[in-house]
Amino acid sequence: MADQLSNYEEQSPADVPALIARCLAGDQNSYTQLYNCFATAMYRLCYSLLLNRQDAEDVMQDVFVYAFKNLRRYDSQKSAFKTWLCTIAVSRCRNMYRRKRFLLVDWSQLLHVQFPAPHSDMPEPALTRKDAADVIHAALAELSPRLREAVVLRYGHGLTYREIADIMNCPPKTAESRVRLAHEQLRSRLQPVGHTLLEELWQVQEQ
Amino acid sequence: MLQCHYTRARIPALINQELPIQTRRYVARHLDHCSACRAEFERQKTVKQELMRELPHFGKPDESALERIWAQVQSDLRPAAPRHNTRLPLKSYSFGGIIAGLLLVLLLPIAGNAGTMSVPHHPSPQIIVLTETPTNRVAVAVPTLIALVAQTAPGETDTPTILDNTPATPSAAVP
Repeated sequence: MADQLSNYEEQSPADVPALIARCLAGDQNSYTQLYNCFATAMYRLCYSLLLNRQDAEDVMQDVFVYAFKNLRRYDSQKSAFKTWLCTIAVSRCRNMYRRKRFLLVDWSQLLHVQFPAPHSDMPEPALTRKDAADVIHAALAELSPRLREAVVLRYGHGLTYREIADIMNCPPKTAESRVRLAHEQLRSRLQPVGHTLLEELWQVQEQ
Repeated sequence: MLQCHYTRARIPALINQELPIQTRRYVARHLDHCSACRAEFERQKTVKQELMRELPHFGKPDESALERIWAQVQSDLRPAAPRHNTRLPLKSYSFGGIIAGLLLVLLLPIAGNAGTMSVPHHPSPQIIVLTETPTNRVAVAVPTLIALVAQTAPGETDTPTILDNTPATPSAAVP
Protein backbone atom coordinates (compact mmCIF):
# COMPACT_ATOMS: atom_id res chain seq x y z
CA MET A 1 0.00 0.00 0.00
CA ALA A 2 2.95 2.30 0.63
CA ASP A 3 3.70 2.63 -3.07
CA GLN A 4 0.12 3.58 -3.74
CA LEU A 5 0.20 6.25 -1.07
CA SER A 6 3.58 7.73 -1.95
CA ASN A 7 2.13 10.83 -3.55
CA TYR A 8 -0.13 12.93 -1.38
CA GLU A 9 0.31 16.15 -3.27
CA GLU A 10 -2.91 18.05 -3.54
CA GLN A 11 -4.37 17.52 -6.93
CA SER A 12 -7.76 17.71 -8.41
CA PRO A 13 -7.70 15.49 -11.44
CA ALA A 14 -9.95 16.33 -14.29
CA ASP A 15 -11.28 12.78 -14.36
CA VAL A 16 -12.74 12.75 -10.86
CA PRO A 17 -16.14 11.70 -12.24
CA ALA A 18 -14.45 8.76 -13.99
CA LEU A 19 -12.66 7.84 -10.74
CA ILE A 20 -15.95 7.96 -8.87
CA ALA A 21 -17.59 5.80 -11.52
CA ARG A 22 -14.81 3.21 -11.13
CA CYS A 23 -15.22 3.33 -7.35
CA LEU A 24 -18.92 2.67 -7.71
CA ALA A 25 -18.10 -0.23 -10.01
CA GLY A 26 -16.10 -1.73 -7.15
CA ASP A 27 -12.52 -0.86 -8.10
CA GLN A 28 -10.55 -0.65 -4.85
CA ASN A 29 -7.57 1.17 -6.42
CA SER A 30 -9.84 4.00 -7.45
CA TYR A 31 -10.80 4.53 -3.82
CA THR A 32 -7.12 4.84 -2.99
CA GLN A 33 -6.56 7.32 -5.81
CA LEU A 34 -9.54 9.37 -4.74
CA TYR A 35 -8.21 9.45 -1.18
CA ASN A 36 -4.75 10.46 -2.39
CA CYS A 37 -6.18 13.35 -4.37
CA PHE A 38 -8.07 14.95 -1.52
CA ALA A 39 -6.45 13.71 1.70
CA THR A 40 -4.03 16.59 2.16
CA ALA A 41 -6.62 19.26 1.43
CA MET A 42 -9.13 17.69 3.79
CA TYR A 43 -6.54 17.32 6.52
CA ARG A 44 -5.51 20.96 6.17
CA LEU A 45 -9.13 22.02 6.34
CA CYS A 46 -9.89 19.93 9.41
CA TYR A 47 -6.73 21.02 11.18
CA SER A 48 -7.27 24.71 10.35
CA LEU A 49 -10.76 24.55 11.81
CA LEU A 50 -10.05 22.40 14.85
CA LEU A 51 -6.44 23.43 15.53
CA ASN A 52 -5.70 20.00 16.98
CA ARG A 53 -3.96 17.11 15.22
CA GLN A 54 -5.82 14.26 16.91
CA ASP A 55 -9.23 15.84 16.36
CA ALA A 56 -8.33 16.56 12.74
CA GLU A 57 -7.38 12.90 12.18
CA ASP A 58 -10.61 11.65 13.77
CA VAL A 59 -12.79 13.99 11.76
CA MET A 60 -10.95 13.29 8.53
CA GLN A 61 -11.38 9.56 8.97
CA ASP A 62 -15.07 10.11 9.59
CA VAL A 63 -15.33 12.33 6.50
CA PHE A 64 -13.82 9.76 4.14
CA VAL A 65 -15.75 6.85 5.59
CA TYR A 66 -18.99 8.78 5.19
CA ALA A 67 -18.09 9.99 1.70
CA PHE A 68 -17.13 6.54 0.42
CA LYS A 69 -20.19 4.91 1.95
CA ASN A 70 -22.47 7.56 0.42
CA LEU A 71 -20.66 7.96 -2.87
CA ARG A 72 -23.84 7.17 -4.80
CA ARG A 73 -25.49 10.22 -3.27
CA TYR A 74 -22.89 12.60 -4.72
CA ASP A 75 -24.30 14.60 -7.62
CA SER A 76 -21.62 16.05 -9.90
CA GLN A 77 -24.20 18.41 -11.41
CA LYS A 78 -24.70 20.17 -8.08
CA SER A 79 -21.13 20.72 -6.90
CA ALA A 80 -17.53 19.73 -7.34
CA PHE A 81 -16.36 16.67 -5.43
CA LYS A 82 -14.02 18.79 -3.31
CA THR A 83 -16.90 21.10 -2.36
CA TRP A 84 -18.95 18.06 -1.36
CA LEU A 85 -16.11 16.75 0.79
CA CYS A 86 -15.62 20.19 2.35
CA THR A 87 -19.33 20.32 3.21
CA ILE A 88 -19.06 17.00 5.03
CA ALA A 89 -15.84 18.08 6.76
CA VAL A 90 -17.23 21.42 7.96
CA SER A 91 -20.35 19.69 9.27
CA ARG A 92 -18.26 17.12 11.16
CA CYS A 93 -15.99 19.85 12.54
CA ARG A 94 -19.04 21.72 13.83
CA ASN A 95 -20.13 18.57 15.63
CA MET A 96 -16.68 18.40 17.16
CA TYR A 97 -16.86 22.04 18.35
CA ARG A 98 -20.17 21.27 20.05
CA ARG A 99 -18.76 18.19 21.71
CA LYS A 100 -15.68 20.02 22.94
CA ARG A 101 -17.31 23.32 23.80
CA PHE A 102 -17.37 22.48 27.48
CA LEU A 103 -13.70 21.47 27.46
CA LEU A 104 -12.64 24.57 25.55
CA VAL A 105 -13.99 26.96 28.18
CA ASP A 106 -11.18 28.87 29.83
CA TRP A 107 -11.96 28.01 33.44
CA SER A 108 -9.12 30.13 34.77
CA GLN A 109 -10.79 33.24 33.32
CA LEU A 110 -14.19 32.24 34.61
CA LEU A 111 -12.88 31.57 38.10
CA HIS A 112 -10.54 34.59 38.03
CA VAL A 113 -7.57 32.40 38.76
CA GLN A 114 -4.24 33.37 37.29
CA PHE A 115 -1.92 30.48 36.61
CA PRO A 116 1.77 31.35 36.47
CA ALA A 117 3.27 31.53 33.01
CA PRO A 118 5.68 28.71 32.11
CA HIS A 119 9.11 29.70 33.21
CA SER A 120 11.95 29.59 30.74
CA ASP A 121 15.50 29.38 32.02
CA MET A 122 17.07 30.78 28.91
CA PRO A 123 15.56 33.82 27.25
CA GLU A 124 15.12 32.90 23.65
CA PRO A 125 14.70 35.28 20.79
CA ALA A 126 11.21 35.59 19.38
CA LEU A 127 12.12 34.04 16.07
CA THR A 128 13.27 30.77 17.61
CA ARG A 129 10.28 30.54 19.97
CA LYS A 130 7.62 31.05 17.40
CA ASP A 131 7.35 30.47 13.73
CA ALA A 132 4.88 31.48 11.13
CA ALA A 133 2.59 28.52 11.78
CA ASP A 134 2.34 29.44 15.44
CA VAL A 135 1.36 32.98 14.56
CA ILE A 136 -1.33 31.78 12.16
CA HIS A 137 -2.47 29.20 14.72
CA ALA A 138 -2.86 31.86 17.41
CA ALA A 139 -4.61 34.23 15.01
CA LEU A 140 -7.08 31.57 13.85
CA ALA A 141 -7.76 30.51 17.42
CA GLU A 142 -8.93 34.04 18.18
CA LEU A 143 -11.60 33.90 15.50
CA SER A 144 -15.07 32.56 16.05
CA PRO A 145 -15.72 29.19 14.33
CA ARG A 146 -17.86 30.71 11.57
CA LEU A 147 -15.28 33.39 10.70
CA ARG A 148 -12.52 30.79 10.83
CA GLU A 149 -14.40 28.55 8.41
CA ALA A 150 -14.93 31.44 6.02
CA VAL A 151 -11.36 32.68 5.99
CA VAL A 152 -9.84 29.20 5.76
CA LEU A 153 -12.07 28.22 2.84
CA ARG A 154 -11.40 31.54 1.08
CA TYR A 155 -7.67 32.00 1.57
CA GLY A 156 -6.59 28.48 2.47
CA HIS A 157 -8.50 26.65 -0.25
CA GLY A 158 -9.22 29.39 -2.77
CA LEU A 159 -12.95 28.69 -2.98
CA THR A 160 -15.40 31.19 -4.38
CA TYR A 161 -18.02 32.87 -2.22
CA ARG A 162 -20.73 30.78 -3.85
CA GLU A 163 -18.88 27.57 -2.95
CA ILE A 164 -18.25 28.86 0.58
CA ALA A 165 -21.94 29.71 0.88
CA ASP A 166 -22.90 26.20 -0.23
CA ILE A 167 -20.51 24.64 2.28
CA MET A 168 -21.49 26.90 5.17
CA ASN A 169 -25.18 26.76 4.28
CA CYS A 170 -25.63 30.51 4.13
CA PRO A 171 -26.24 33.15 1.43
CA PRO A 172 -23.19 34.21 -0.63
CA LYS A 173 -23.38 37.74 0.78
CA THR A 174 -23.12 36.35 4.30
CA ALA A 175 -20.07 34.32 3.29
CA GLU A 176 -18.54 37.47 1.83
CA SER A 177 -19.17 39.52 4.96
CA ARG A 178 -17.77 36.73 7.15
CA VAL A 179 -14.55 36.70 5.14
CA ARG A 180 -14.36 40.46 5.44
CA LEU A 181 -14.92 40.40 9.21
CA ALA A 182 -12.34 37.65 9.63
CA HIS A 183 -9.90 39.65 7.52
CA GLU A 184 -10.33 42.71 9.72
CA GLN A 185 -9.96 40.72 12.93
CA LEU A 186 -6.89 38.93 11.64
CA ARG A 187 -5.39 42.23 10.61
CA SER A 188 -5.72 43.59 14.14
CA ARG A 189 -4.39 40.30 15.54
CA LEU A 190 -1.45 39.95 13.18
CA GLN A 191 -0.47 43.58 12.96
CA PRO A 192 1.09 44.28 16.39
CA VAL A 193 3.38 41.25 16.51
CA GLY A 194 2.68 38.76 13.83
CA HIS A 195 2.99 40.90 10.79
CA THR A 196 6.55 41.94 11.39
CA LEU A 197 7.36 38.49 12.70
CA LEU A 198 6.10 36.82 9.55
CA GLU A 199 8.01 39.20 7.34
CA GLU A 200 11.20 38.53 9.23
CA LEU A 201 10.61 34.80 9.02
CA TRP A 202 10.11 34.88 5.30
CA GLN A 203 13.22 36.97 4.85
CA VAL A 204 15.16 34.36 6.83
CA GLN A 205 13.66 31.54 4.76
CA GLU A 206 14.46 33.27 1.47
CA GLN A 207 18.11 33.79 2.41
CA MET B 1 -13.84 61.68 9.23
CA LEU B 2 -17.09 60.24 7.92
CA GLN B 3 -15.33 59.49 4.64
CA CYS B 4 -12.53 57.72 6.53
CA HIS B 5 -15.03 55.55 8.41
CA TYR B 6 -16.84 54.68 5.17
CA THR B 7 -13.59 53.91 3.35
CA ARG B 8 -12.06 51.74 6.10
CA ALA B 9 -15.17 49.58 6.25
CA ARG B 10 -14.73 48.85 2.56
CA ILE B 11 -10.98 48.29 2.40
CA PRO B 12 -11.16 44.45 2.62
CA ALA B 13 -13.75 44.38 -0.14
CA LEU B 14 -11.61 46.70 -2.24
CA ILE B 15 -8.59 44.44 -1.76
CA ASN B 16 -10.63 41.40 -2.75
CA GLN B 17 -12.03 43.29 -5.75
CA GLU B 18 -15.58 42.88 -4.55
CA LEU B 19 -16.78 46.48 -4.71
CA PRO B 20 -19.04 47.81 -7.44
CA ILE B 21 -17.29 50.17 -9.84
CA GLN B 22 -18.77 53.39 -8.45
CA THR B 23 -17.90 52.59 -4.82
CA ARG B 24 -14.44 51.50 -5.91
CA ARG B 25 -13.86 54.85 -7.59
CA TYR B 26 -15.08 56.74 -4.54
CA VAL B 27 -12.87 54.76 -2.15
CA ALA B 28 -9.85 54.98 -4.43
CA ARG B 29 -10.28 58.75 -4.71
CA HIS B 30 -10.33 59.02 -0.91
CA LEU B 31 -7.25 56.83 -0.58
CA ASP B 32 -5.37 59.17 -2.91
CA HIS B 33 -5.91 62.07 -0.53
CA CYS B 34 -5.96 60.47 2.96
CA SER B 35 -2.59 59.17 4.06
CA ALA B 36 -3.98 57.41 7.16
CA CYS B 37 -6.49 55.41 5.14
CA ARG B 38 -3.83 54.72 2.56
CA ALA B 39 -1.57 53.25 5.24
CA GLU B 40 -4.45 51.12 6.53
CA PHE B 41 -5.10 49.93 2.98
CA GLU B 42 -1.46 48.91 2.57
CA ARG B 43 -1.48 47.04 5.90
CA GLN B 44 -4.60 45.08 5.03
CA LYS B 45 -3.24 44.31 1.59
CA THR B 46 -0.13 42.85 3.21
CA VAL B 47 -2.25 40.80 5.61
CA LYS B 48 -4.18 39.35 2.70
CA GLN B 49 -0.95 38.46 0.92
CA GLU B 50 0.33 36.83 4.10
CA LEU B 51 -2.84 34.81 4.52
CA MET B 52 -2.86 33.69 0.91
CA ARG B 53 0.76 32.68 1.16
CA GLU B 54 0.64 31.04 4.58
CA LEU B 55 -2.79 29.43 4.92
CA PRO B 56 -2.37 26.93 2.05
CA HIS B 57 0.67 25.55 3.92
CA PHE B 58 -0.89 25.69 7.37
CA GLY B 59 -1.50 22.30 8.95
CA LYS B 60 0.04 20.18 6.21
CA PRO B 61 0.11 16.57 7.39
CA ASP B 62 3.01 14.15 7.20
CA GLU B 63 2.62 11.00 5.14
CA SER B 64 2.56 8.72 8.17
CA ALA B 65 -0.55 10.47 9.47
CA LEU B 66 -2.29 10.11 6.12
CA GLU B 67 -1.35 6.44 5.88
CA ARG B 68 -2.64 5.84 9.40
CA ILE B 69 -5.95 7.53 8.57
CA TRP B 70 -6.26 5.57 5.33
CA ALA B 71 -5.75 2.30 7.17
CA GLN B 72 -8.51 3.26 9.60
CA VAL B 73 -10.81 4.29 6.77
CA GLN B 74 -10.23 0.94 5.07
CA SER B 75 -10.94 -1.00 8.25
CA ASP B 76 -14.15 1.00 8.75
CA LEU B 77 -15.24 0.34 5.18
CA ARG B 78 -14.52 -3.39 5.32
CA PRO B 79 -17.77 -5.30 5.70
CA ALA B 80 -18.09 -6.71 9.16
CA ALA B 81 -17.73 -10.50 9.38
CA PRO B 82 -20.87 -12.31 10.55
CA ARG B 83 -20.70 -12.89 14.26
CA HIS B 84 -21.10 -16.39 15.59
CA ASN B 85 -22.92 -16.60 18.85
CA THR B 86 -20.65 -18.74 20.98
CA ARG B 87 -22.49 -18.12 24.19
CA LEU B 88 -24.82 -20.71 25.58
CA PRO B 89 -28.45 -19.82 25.10
CA LEU B 90 -29.03 -20.41 28.79
CA LYS B 91 -26.54 -17.70 29.63
CA SER B 92 -28.15 -15.22 27.28
CA TYR B 93 -31.58 -16.06 28.66
CA SER B 94 -30.35 -15.65 32.22
CA PHE B 95 -28.86 -12.27 31.30
CA GLY B 96 -32.12 -11.23 29.72
CA GLY B 97 -33.99 -12.43 32.77
CA ILE B 98 -31.82 -10.34 35.04
CA ILE B 99 -32.44 -7.26 32.87
CA ALA B 100 -36.19 -7.96 32.80
CA GLY B 101 -36.23 -8.41 36.58
CA LEU B 102 -34.38 -5.15 37.12
CA LEU B 103 -36.75 -3.33 34.79
CA LEU B 104 -39.71 -4.82 36.63
CA VAL B 105 -38.33 -3.73 39.98
CA LEU B 106 -37.68 -0.24 38.65
CA LEU B 107 -41.01 0.14 36.86
CA LEU B 108 -43.33 -1.40 39.44
CA PRO B 109 -43.30 1.55 41.85
CA ILE B 110 -43.95 3.90 38.96
CA ALA B 111 -46.81 1.73 37.72
CA GLY B 112 -48.19 1.50 41.27
CA ASN B 113 -48.09 5.25 41.68
CA ALA B 114 -49.76 5.72 38.31
CA GLY B 115 -52.58 3.33 39.40
CA THR B 116 -53.29 5.10 42.61
CA MET B 117 -53.18 8.41 40.96
CA SER B 118 -55.82 7.40 38.43
CA VAL B 119 -58.40 6.53 41.12
CA PRO B 120 -60.74 9.48 41.61
CA HIS B 121 -60.87 10.97 45.05
CA HIS B 122 -63.89 10.70 47.22
CA PRO B 123 -66.01 13.81 47.19
CA SER B 124 -65.49 15.91 50.19
CA PRO B 125 -68.30 15.71 52.73
CA GLN B 126 -70.83 18.46 52.38
CA ILE B 127 -71.74 20.42 55.38
CA ILE B 128 -75.45 20.59 55.83
CA VAL B 129 -76.57 23.75 57.37
CA LEU B 130 -79.85 23.58 59.11
CA THR B 131 -81.85 26.62 58.34
CA GLU B 132 -84.90 25.57 60.30
CA THR B 133 -85.16 24.81 63.92
CA PRO B 134 -85.65 21.09 64.53
CA THR B 135 -89.21 20.15 65.16
CA ASN B 136 -90.71 16.99 66.62
CA ARG B 137 -92.21 16.15 63.21
CA VAL B 138 -90.06 13.02 62.80
CA ALA B 139 -90.60 11.98 66.33
CA VAL B 140 -94.30 12.23 65.78
CA ALA B 141 -94.21 10.43 62.41
CA VAL B 142 -92.25 7.43 63.56
CA PRO B 143 -94.75 6.11 66.06
CA THR B 144 -97.44 6.59 63.47
CA LEU B 145 -95.56 4.45 60.94
CA ILE B 146 -94.79 1.82 63.54
CA ALA B 147 -98.40 1.75 64.41
CA LEU B 148 -99.33 1.34 60.73
CA VAL B 149 -96.88 -1.53 60.22
CA ALA B 150 -97.90 -3.22 63.40
CA GLN B 151 -101.49 -2.90 62.51
CA THR B 152 -102.67 -6.05 60.79
CA ALA B 153 -105.62 -6.56 58.60
CA PRO B 154 -108.66 -7.91 60.34
CA GLY B 155 -108.78 -11.72 60.35
CA GLU B 156 -105.03 -12.11 59.83
CA THR B 157 -102.70 -13.37 62.40
CA ASP B 158 -99.09 -12.36 62.83
CA THR B 159 -97.83 -15.92 62.78
CA PRO B 160 -99.79 -18.25 60.53
CA THR B 161 -99.57 -21.82 61.75
CA ILE B 162 -100.20 -23.38 58.37
CA LEU B 163 -98.86 -22.05 55.12
CA ASP B 164 -101.31 -21.54 52.34
CA ASN B 165 -99.75 -24.12 50.01
CA THR B 166 -99.36 -26.78 52.71
CA PRO B 167 -101.75 -29.68 52.22
CA ALA B 168 -103.98 -30.57 55.09
CA THR B 169 -102.69 -33.20 57.40
CA PRO B 170 -104.52 -36.59 57.25
CA SER B 171 -105.04 -36.62 61.03
CA ALA B 172 -106.98 -33.37 60.76
CA ALA B 173 -109.10 -34.70 57.84
CA VAL B 174 -110.01 -37.99 59.49
CA PRO B 175 -111.91 -37.58 62.75
